[in-house]
Amino acid sequence: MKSLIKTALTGAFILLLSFQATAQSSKYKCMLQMSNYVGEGAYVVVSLINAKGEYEKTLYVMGDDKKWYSSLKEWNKFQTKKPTNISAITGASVTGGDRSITTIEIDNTKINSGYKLRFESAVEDQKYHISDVEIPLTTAGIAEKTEGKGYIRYVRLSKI
Amino acid sequence: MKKKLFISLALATSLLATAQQKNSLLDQSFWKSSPDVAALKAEIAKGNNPAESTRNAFDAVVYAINSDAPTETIKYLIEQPGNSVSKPTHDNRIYLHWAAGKGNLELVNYLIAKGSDINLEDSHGSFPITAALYSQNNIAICEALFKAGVDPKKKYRDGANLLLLGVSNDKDLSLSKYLETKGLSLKDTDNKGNTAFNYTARTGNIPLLKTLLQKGVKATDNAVILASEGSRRESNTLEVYKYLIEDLKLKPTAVSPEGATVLHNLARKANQNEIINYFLSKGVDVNKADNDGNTALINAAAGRDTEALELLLTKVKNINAQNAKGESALSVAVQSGSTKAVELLLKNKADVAVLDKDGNNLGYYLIQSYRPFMMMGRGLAAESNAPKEDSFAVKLKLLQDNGLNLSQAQKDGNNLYHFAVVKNDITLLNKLADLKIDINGQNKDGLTALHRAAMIAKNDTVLKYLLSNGAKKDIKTEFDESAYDLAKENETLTQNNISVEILK
Repeated sequence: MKSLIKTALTGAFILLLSFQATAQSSKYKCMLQMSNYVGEGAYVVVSLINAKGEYEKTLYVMGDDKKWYSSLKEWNKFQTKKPTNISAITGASVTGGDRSITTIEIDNTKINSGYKLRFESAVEDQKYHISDVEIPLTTAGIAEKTEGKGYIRYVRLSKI
Repeated sequence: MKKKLFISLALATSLLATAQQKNSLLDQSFWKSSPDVAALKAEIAKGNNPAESTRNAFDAVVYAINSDAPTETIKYLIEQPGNSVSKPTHDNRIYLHWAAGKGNLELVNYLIAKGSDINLEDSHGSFPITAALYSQNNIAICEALFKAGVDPKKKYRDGANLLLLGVSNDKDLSLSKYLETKGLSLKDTDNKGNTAFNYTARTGNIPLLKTLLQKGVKATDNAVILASEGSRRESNTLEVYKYLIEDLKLKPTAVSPEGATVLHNLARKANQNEIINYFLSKGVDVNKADNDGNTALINAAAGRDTEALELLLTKVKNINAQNAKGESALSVAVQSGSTKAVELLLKNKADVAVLDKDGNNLGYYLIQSYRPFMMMGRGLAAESNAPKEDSFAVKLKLLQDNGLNLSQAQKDGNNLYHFAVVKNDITLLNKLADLKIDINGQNKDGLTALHRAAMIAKNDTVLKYLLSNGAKKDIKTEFDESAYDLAKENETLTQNNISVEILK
C-alpha cells in the first residue's frame, strides 16, 4: 500500500515537472535561406544537440519522403535507434535558392547551457553535410544570422 | 499526327546525341568496345574529361565498370585527377559499390587496397557488400570484403543480415552455405520476423521455396506481402500466390507491419487484375488504409495504365479517402498519373475541391505534374504508339470543366505562379496566362512570385516574363527585402554574370 502511494506521488511529481517544462518552452520563427545550388531539392533536418554533442530531439524535418531519410546519415541513426513520431514537424523539402519559414519550439532550460541547433542537409547524388549550419543556443547565438557551409546560405531565428 | 511524333522523336534523339558528343568518355558505346589503356589515353588527349559526371552523377569510371571494360583501363581511369576511390557518384555510391555489384573481384581488391570505405552506405541504404550479393562472384567478393574488415554478422535494413538479403537469388544455396560458415543461419529472421522463406517469396522461385521448407525454414503470413512487392523489375504470377495460399495455407488477408495488404502493392503494378480479383475473392479488405493513410485505390491512381484503377473503383466505399498528407486518389492522379486516370476519377464523382493537409488544392498538384522535357522523358517509350498529348493542358481543362477555380490563392497565400516559378520554365508560365491569376499576390510570408523567382532563378528569362506581365518591383518581403535584394544574393545569377538591374 505504502509503495502504491509512493508511486502515485512520484507520478504526480513527474507530471508536474513535465508540465512545468512545457510551460517553459518558447517558440521561434526559423527562416532558412538556401543557396542557389544546382540539383534536386534538399532534405534538411533541424536537431537539438546537447553539450556532449549528442542528438537529443528532432525539431523539424524538411522533406517528407521516408526513402530519403537514410541520406541524412547521422540523424537517421538517431531516429532509427529511438524512433519518434515526426509527422507534426515534417514539411516539404527545399529547392535551391528557395526559403522555408517554420516555427520550432525549444525548452528555455536549453538556452545558455551548452546546447546547439544542428541543420543537417542532403541532396540527391550530391555531398551530405552533417552540420551545414550550427547555432549555439546562447542569447547572442540566437540573435545572429548564421551562414551555412553546404546548401544553406543562412539561417535566422527570432523569438515569437 | 504520326509525322509530328516522328519529328519530336528525331529531335529528342538529336538532342541526346549532341549531349553525348560533348564527352566521348560518357558515351556508353565507347565502353562497350572494350577499350585498352592506349585507346583511353587517346580519347583523353582529344580533350575528353575523364572526371566529368552526368546530371545524374554517373561518370566514366561507372560506365566503364558497368560495361565490363578491361580492368587495367578502369584502374588507369580511376587514377586520373578528379577521380578517387571516395568520389561520390549516382545514388552516392563509390566505385567499390559498382565493382562489387558487377562481380569484378580484381577491381574490388584494387579499390580496397586503395583505401575505399568498405562500409559506405549509399542514399538507398545499399553497401558494397549488399551490392555484391546478386553478382556472379558473390562469394569471392564477400570473402574479400570480410578480409578487409566487413562484419559478416552486420544487420542491414529492417535488421536483415546478408543471408536474408541474398537468399532470394541463391538458387543452389551456395552463398547461404558459405555465409553459414561465417556464423549466419538459414533460420535467421529480420526485426519484423521475416524468414529466409519470406525473402525468397519476393522472386517467387517455387523450387527454392520448397527446398527452404525442407530445411526447416518457416513460412509466415508476411511472405504473401513480400511476394506482392516482387523484385525490382518483376512481379509474381498467380501460380506463386496459389502456392502460398492454397498449398501452404498462408493468410491472404495478411497485413504488413506498415499496415499494407497485398492490394497496396498489386495496385501499383501493371496487368495484375486477375491476381487482384483472386485476393478480393479471398476477402482482402479493399478499403484498408496503410499506416501512411494510403489505400490501394490511391496507389493505383499513379499507375501508367488504368486497369487496376478501373477495377478498384467498382469495389471501394470511399473514392475520396485521403492519406496522411491529405492526398486523395485524384490528387495522386493529377500529380503523377495519366490523364485517363484523372478523367476516370472525375467521372466517378471524385471531389475536385479536395485540400491536402497544408490547404493546397489540386492546382498545386497540377503544377507538380509539369515536366519540361516530357517528350524526352520516361514516357517516350510507353507513348510511342500513341499521338503525343499535352497532358498538362488536358488535366488543366478537366479540372476546370469540373468546377475547380485555378486562379484562387491557396490557404497560405501561394497561387499557381508561386509554385510555377520553381520550375524555371516560361513554357509553363505561358500555360497559366489565361487563368487570370494575380501575379502580385503575396503569400503569408510576404513573398510574391517575383520574389521567389529572384531567389531561385538560374537565368533572367522568368524574371523578364513576370515583369512584362505586370509583376511589381517595389513589393517587400516580411524581412523588408525587394526582389532586387533577393536576386543580388542569388549565387547562380552572380556566377553566370547575369545582370539583375532590370529589377531595380
